[in-house]
Amino acid sequence: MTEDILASLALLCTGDGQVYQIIGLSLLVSGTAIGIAALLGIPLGAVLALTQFPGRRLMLHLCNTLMGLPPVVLGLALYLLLSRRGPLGFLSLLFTPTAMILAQTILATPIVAALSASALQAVSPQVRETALMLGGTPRQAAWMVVREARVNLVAAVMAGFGRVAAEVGAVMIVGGNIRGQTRVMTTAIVMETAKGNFALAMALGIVLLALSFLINLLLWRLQGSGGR
Amino acid sequence: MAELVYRLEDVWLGYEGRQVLQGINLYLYAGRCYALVGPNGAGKSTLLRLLALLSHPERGRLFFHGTEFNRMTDPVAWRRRLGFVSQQPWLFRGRVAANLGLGLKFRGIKRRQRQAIVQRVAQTLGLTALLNRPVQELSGGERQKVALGRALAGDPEVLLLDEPTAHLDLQATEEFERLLSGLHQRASLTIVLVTHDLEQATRLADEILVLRQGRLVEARYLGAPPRESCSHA
Repeated sequence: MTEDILASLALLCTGDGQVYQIIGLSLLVSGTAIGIAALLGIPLGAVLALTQFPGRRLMLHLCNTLMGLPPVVLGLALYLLLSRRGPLGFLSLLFTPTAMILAQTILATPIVAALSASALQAVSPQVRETALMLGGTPRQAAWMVVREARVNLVAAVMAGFGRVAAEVGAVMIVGGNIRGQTRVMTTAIVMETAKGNFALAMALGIVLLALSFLINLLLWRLQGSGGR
Repeated sequence: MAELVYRLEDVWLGYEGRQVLQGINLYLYAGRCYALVGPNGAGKSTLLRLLALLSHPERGRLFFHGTEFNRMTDPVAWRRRLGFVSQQPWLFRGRVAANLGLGLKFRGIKRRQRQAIVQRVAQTLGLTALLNRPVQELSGGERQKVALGRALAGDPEVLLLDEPTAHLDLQATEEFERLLSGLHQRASLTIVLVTHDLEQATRLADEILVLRQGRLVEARYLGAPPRESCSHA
């Protein structure tokens, strides 16, 4: 056990090419996915929180339900869609980083949307009313609400990132865990553990833990500042 | 002849299953200061929100400068003629100057012109020394003055105040009242002030309107009544 820990630290410190390639791809896939999810999820959350339309409540429930979507189920659905015989097979996306980004975007968007909606709903109604009374248009007033909720909106995005960075089921199925192409930290840990190569698995585990710690630290700092 | 600013005809409005306003008839004229008094739950703040064009009457008609609220094609443009100060105003994150200039920014006024207006308003209200101060460092009285300045920066015709001194100490209240009466005397500003304090109403208003259980029950003139007609029909 101690030997494995020392070996894993050595792998991290000596700049093992394979380890850094896996970390780089993980950050690229999860970073791109969360970027797209933020672009989709925050406006969707704003629409759900700040406007009234038929079916709004249903959409909110749907987002909340999809927050708990099991990654393996999503992976399976995407696999069936993207496989050669599937309706989107012609895109040849299966076992590519693009398919992994797609899977993680689908996982993260409802999280970002639901948490954004909740963050925006928590803003005092006085904010919108004050903006309107200062001569703001409904759109300008909505923007002021978004500005007031910005700390919690960032927290929503980071919560989404935390979820996708630690996710294994969907990327394993649609990415295929191909060495040098679609192998990310979580899938590599599963495989290396099965092979008994604990040093590499632990090295990647340490990075994942450090990433999770960093996200939590940033969240704590942001919420501690309270934005006021 | 003073211009008629607001005309309310048999206005009704409910809230959470309760009829808060019940058949309000009211005429408010330009340049006068009205105090709206009454017990808690009488409908004072609800009436003020109506005058602020923030909520529509359920029944009856509300006219602002002769145009019916329900038929206004651009309520934003009409609302820009009003200023509103609430009991505990919301100040946006940032500095006092940014708050004072926010309404002007909404109107698309250029930065340099905005700064000039903010300086002028700050000077009028004695806020110049606070312009660069973050709003969270302000006292209750200073916050209320910033809210007043923010409302005045848009050069409103009507100033609507919802118990603006309810949370202020005696000294801050006196200062706020001094500012208000100065504004009322200098400018042809129409003021509608909701207050619990009858003495304050007597000090500041030309006319006191008494609301009870959603009905206007009395109008008392403290100065000369408007020549045209009484406010309370």
